[in-house]
Amino acid sequence: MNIDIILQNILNPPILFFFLGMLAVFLKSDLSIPQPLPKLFSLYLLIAIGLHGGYELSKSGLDINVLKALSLAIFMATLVPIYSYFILKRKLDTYNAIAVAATYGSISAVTFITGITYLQTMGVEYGGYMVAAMTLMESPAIVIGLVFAAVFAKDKNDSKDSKTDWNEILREAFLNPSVYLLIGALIIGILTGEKGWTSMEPLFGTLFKGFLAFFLLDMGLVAARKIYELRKVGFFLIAFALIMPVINASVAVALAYFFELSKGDAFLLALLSGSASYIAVPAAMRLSVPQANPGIYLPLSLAITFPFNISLGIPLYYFFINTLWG
Amino acid sequence: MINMKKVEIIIESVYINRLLKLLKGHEITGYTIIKDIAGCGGHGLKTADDVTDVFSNNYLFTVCEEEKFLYMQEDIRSFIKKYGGKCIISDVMLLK
Repeated sequence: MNIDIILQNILNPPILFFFLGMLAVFLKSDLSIPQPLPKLFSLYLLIAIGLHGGYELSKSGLDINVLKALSLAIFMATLVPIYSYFILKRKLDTYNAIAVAATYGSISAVTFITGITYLQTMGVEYGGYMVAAMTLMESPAIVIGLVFAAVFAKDKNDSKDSKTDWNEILREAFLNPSVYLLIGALIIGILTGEKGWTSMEPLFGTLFKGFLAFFLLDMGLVAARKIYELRKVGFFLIAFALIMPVINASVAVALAYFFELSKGDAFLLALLSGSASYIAVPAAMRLSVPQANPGIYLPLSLAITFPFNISLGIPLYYFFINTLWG
Repeated sequence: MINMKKVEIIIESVYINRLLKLLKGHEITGYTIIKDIAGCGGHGLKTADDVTDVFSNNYLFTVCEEEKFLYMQEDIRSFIKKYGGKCIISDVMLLK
C-alpha cells in the first residue's frame, strides 16, 4: 500500500485534531470542551450530512444503483452482528457477546463523515443515497441484539417488573436522535433540492470541516480516556476490535465488486461495514441487555476501532478498492 | 412541618425513564432531576462528558409520606439490583 494514501488521510486537519485530543490526555493537559458543545457538534454533523445527502439524492433520483447500494447496506448490517456473535461467543458470555456483536453490526456516523471528506480530497464521486444507506445500517444490529437476547440469554427468570419493554427498545432502535435527525435532514434535503442546499450551504457546507475538526478533537479526548479501560478487556477483544473491521470491510468490498457498485459507494459501504457504533447501540444495549458490561463494548468501539478506522482503515479500504476498481 | 421521607437515587442516564415509570406507578409525580452528573462508584468513573449517555448518571430526588415509601421500597430495591445505582433514604421535615 502506498504511504501517500495513508499520509493524505492522516495529514488532514480534522484527523490531526483527533490525535491532538488524544495527545492532550496522554500528556495530562487540562484541555476539555465544555458540555454540551460536543453534542451540538454531533447534531450539526448529522444535519449537514443528511441535508447534503438529500440534495444529492434529489439530483440523482432513485435507480437500480441506489436500490443495490441500499440493499447491500441492509444485508451487511444484518450479516455482521450474526457472525460476530458466534465468533465472540467462543470467549465471552452470552450478554457481552450480544452487546459487542450489536456494537460492531451497527455503524459510526463520524467515521462515515470522515470517509466522505477523504473521498472529496481524493476527488472520488459517491452517491448522496449513501447517507440513506448509513441510516439504514444503524438499526438492524439493535434488533438482532434484541432477538439474540430473547433466544440465547439464559436468564429466563424475568419477574413482572423486569420484562423487556419492546416498545421502548424499538423506539430507541428506530427513533434514536441520530437516526431521527439523519432521516429528517435527508427528507428536507430531498424536498428542498438545490435551492434549499444553496441557502443552507454557508452553515452546513462551508463550515463543515471546521465543525468536524472540533468534534474530532473532543472524540480524541474521549477515546484516549477510554484507552485506560482497555486493560480490563483482554487480548482477544483488542484483536477482535482491530481485525473485525478489516474482515467486515473486506466482505463489503467483495459484495460491492460483485454487484458493480461505483468506487465511491463501494468505499463508503466498506467503511460503514467496518465501523462500530458508540452512541446508538451502546445506549440501546444498556437498555435491553443490562447484564452486559459497557466497560467492554464501548471502549472497544471508541478507543480502538474508531481511531483505527479514521487513521489506517480509511486508506486501507481505499487501497483495496482502488486495486480492484482501478 | 410534616415528617416525610426523602428518596435520592443516582442512576445511569439511560435508565431514567424506567425509573420515572416505576415512581409514577407508585403515584410519585413530583421529583427533581439533575442530569449528566459525574462521579465514581462500583461501575467505575462516570465522566458524563461523552457523546453517549452510557457513561453519565442522573440524580433524582423526591419526598413522600413514609407509608408510600414503605409500599414502593421493594420495587426500588429490585430496580437498583438490576440496573445498578444508589438509593439513599433520609427522614426530613417538609415546611408547608
